[in-house]
Amino acid sequence: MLLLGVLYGAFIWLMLGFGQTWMLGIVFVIVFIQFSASDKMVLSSMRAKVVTREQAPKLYGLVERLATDAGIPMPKVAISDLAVPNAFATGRSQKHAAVAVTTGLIQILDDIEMEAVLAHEISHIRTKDVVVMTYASFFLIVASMLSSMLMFSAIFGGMGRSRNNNAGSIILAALLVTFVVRIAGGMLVATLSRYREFSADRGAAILTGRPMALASALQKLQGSIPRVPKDDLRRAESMNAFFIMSAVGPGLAELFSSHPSTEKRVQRLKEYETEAATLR
Amino acid sequence: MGRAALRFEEQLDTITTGEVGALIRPIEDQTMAQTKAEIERALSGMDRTQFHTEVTVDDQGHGWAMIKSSNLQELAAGAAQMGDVFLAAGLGERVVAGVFPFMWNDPTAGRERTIYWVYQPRIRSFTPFAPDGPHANRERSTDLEVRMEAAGRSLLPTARQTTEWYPIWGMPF
Repeated sequence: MLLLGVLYGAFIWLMLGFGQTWMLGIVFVIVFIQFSASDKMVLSSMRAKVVTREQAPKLYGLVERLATDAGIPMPKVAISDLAVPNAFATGRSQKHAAVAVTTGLIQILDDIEMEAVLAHEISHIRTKDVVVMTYASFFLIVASMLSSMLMFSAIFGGMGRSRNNNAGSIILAALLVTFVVRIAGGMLVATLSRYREFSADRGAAILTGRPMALASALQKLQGSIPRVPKDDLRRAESMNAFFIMSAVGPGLAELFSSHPSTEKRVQRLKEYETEAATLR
Repeated sequence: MGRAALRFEEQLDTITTGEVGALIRPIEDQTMAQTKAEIERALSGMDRTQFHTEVTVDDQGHGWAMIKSSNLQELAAGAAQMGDVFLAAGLGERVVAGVFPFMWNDPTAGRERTIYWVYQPRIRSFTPFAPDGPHANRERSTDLEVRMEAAGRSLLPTARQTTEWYPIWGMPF
């Protein structure tokens, strides 16, 4: 977080130093408008509609209870009419937050799993992750807009013969800076977001007291509900008698698993469960 | 298992049903009556003053040797003794599983349900089995089993690979 702040601070300072103040000003105005409407923009881009208590009493009630438990103001509740199961939280502050779920998610999760997923999103709002991430990506947007503006000014400015001999090299240097900011910022945002996911998982585990409910929801989302054998042990045992090794060997599924992050999250949730069981 | 069962009772709100069972594979061409008699013969080597034993044969021809006792410690001691007499009688190789049923009060469903810890000698590990509803329906709660395994791991040698979590339908308890 601190790194991100330092990075952006240095970036703004450098841009001011290069005398591109006017450009920075324009970009900030544009992005500020975007930022203040960010929750609405995210919701509409996900085709999510804000619902009232009457429209979705169960979902609304769950969010309300979790928000009270977490000590945050009641966020807006939205349902996105998408078949892809997903949930997200958005908003520029705790007061302007929204929690949205897709209809696909409502269909595949049971009440306890839904509670766990909502608790995860509520944790994002409680720890101001949503705000942090909005800010973090906000500066990234600024950087990317600036670099494209600089690109244009380099092309057109160059053709129009510069008043200043140094202009070309300054713009080149500024381009380089924005480029570095974009790469480094992107990496930082990704790291931050991974860390935030783990911390929200933990927050959800504490909020609901059921770490495995979230694990089970994650596994459903990944589409890899743990594969258990269908055959009865008695039948499997008689089959195994003909083989020296177990008929169903472990390892293959793990080898080809393409989602290590979900596995890691589930692994951690299992650890929380064990911790909680020892404490109980 | 006895100590583990005690800790289960303390930590997970589960209570033993007062029974443990050993599942024994029949040998080829053995009739149900022969399987039953063979198991009963082996069990006669046990000190049966402390607990009640019972032998049945299920519809798949597998034998079940069961011990009943309301005292958990006795139950655990009985299970250990049963293992010994089976080994002595040469039945050790044919023990497919040791089954330990527990009653668990499911807070979400608001009802009691029976969940099982299954010891599989083949992999020397315990696996969870949580049927959902009557055995005839052949439905199980995998998410509950995942929770059981996570909770039981520190108490028992559990098998983490879900591909080993075989069901045993139609148990006599």
